[in-house]
Amino acid sequence: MTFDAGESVRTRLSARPGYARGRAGTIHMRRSAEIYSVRFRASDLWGEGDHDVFLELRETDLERA
Amino acid sequence: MINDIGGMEGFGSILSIEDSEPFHAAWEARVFGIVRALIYNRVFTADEFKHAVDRMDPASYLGASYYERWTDALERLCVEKELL
Amino acid sequence: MSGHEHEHPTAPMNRRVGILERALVSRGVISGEQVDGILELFGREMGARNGARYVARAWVDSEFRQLLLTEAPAVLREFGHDLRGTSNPELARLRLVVVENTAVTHNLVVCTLCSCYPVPLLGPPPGWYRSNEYRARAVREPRAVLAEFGLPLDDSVRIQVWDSTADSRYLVLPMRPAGTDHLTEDQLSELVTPQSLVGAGIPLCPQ
Repeated sequence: MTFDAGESVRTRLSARPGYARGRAGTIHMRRSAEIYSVRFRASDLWGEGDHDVFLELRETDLERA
Repeated sequence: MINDIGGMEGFGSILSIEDSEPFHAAWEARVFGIVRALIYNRVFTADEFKHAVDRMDPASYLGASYYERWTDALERLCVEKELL
Repeated sequence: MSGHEHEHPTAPMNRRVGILERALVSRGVISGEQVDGILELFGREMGARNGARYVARAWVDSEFRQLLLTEAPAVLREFGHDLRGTSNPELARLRLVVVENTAVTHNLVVCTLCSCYPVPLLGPPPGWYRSNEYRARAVREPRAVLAEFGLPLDDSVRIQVWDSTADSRYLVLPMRPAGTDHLTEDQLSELVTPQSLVGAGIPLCPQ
């Protein structure tokens, strides 16, 4: 399964770091065969904050939202 | 795991941004160099080392300084690889 | 009693690391000279000055800037860590990603899990970057953290925090300060502070 830039995804419970588990995000870009840069809104992560957080996650830690 | 502290609450102000030195004491630099040498010499990989740091006894982790954690991980990994 | 009551606070760790190093040397898996060489290399060759040179070049050369934003590893391979072609054993594996500050976007770099940092370019990370406080708070309250660092950002500026959770290591390309058109590239690089390279500050203004 590959994801496209801009696609909405949800992280699986296997994802690290812990604050990003089971969260909704958007694919920013693919970095390599296995790794994506994913954008999260702070409000979706912690219910507060007006910033975005970019994480790199394995494809296996992501599913289509 | 205990190193997974992103977003954790209860931490105070950032110890001064003037704390800009990479090493506060000679032993810290030495640990940095020893770990790199062991990785270059393929005794363990960078990932193995990082994982060893993460496996530190949780009760000790937050109170230990960054390079104290490295020293702990280094000792543990060397014991596991029967070098010590 | 241990008999160490009046010794310097770092003495116990000095002893512990010294014992460790001697044991590993006697096992033949490292040499003291090799460790000395690594510290010499990282102390002398790698540091924030390298990042500052890259930023100054990007400010004066828009083609270079574009390459840096899209293919930083290729640029590093060509120009080395000091922009003068000097390479080091780790540079080829550095998956550098350069992120650009604009009038409406400010970037901040952290590694919440372990303090990863673009070491083969900038050298070992500074103390504050490695602190539990920074690792915990930068992703959650970057605006407050930046204000504590002396950089209160206008509400109209969006903050993007990059958590180095996999292979990429991030370098921030700060905005070029106003009033610098007359400066040489070397003079421009003097304005680029170490903090600005990870977004924890901004470059200095010219005198």
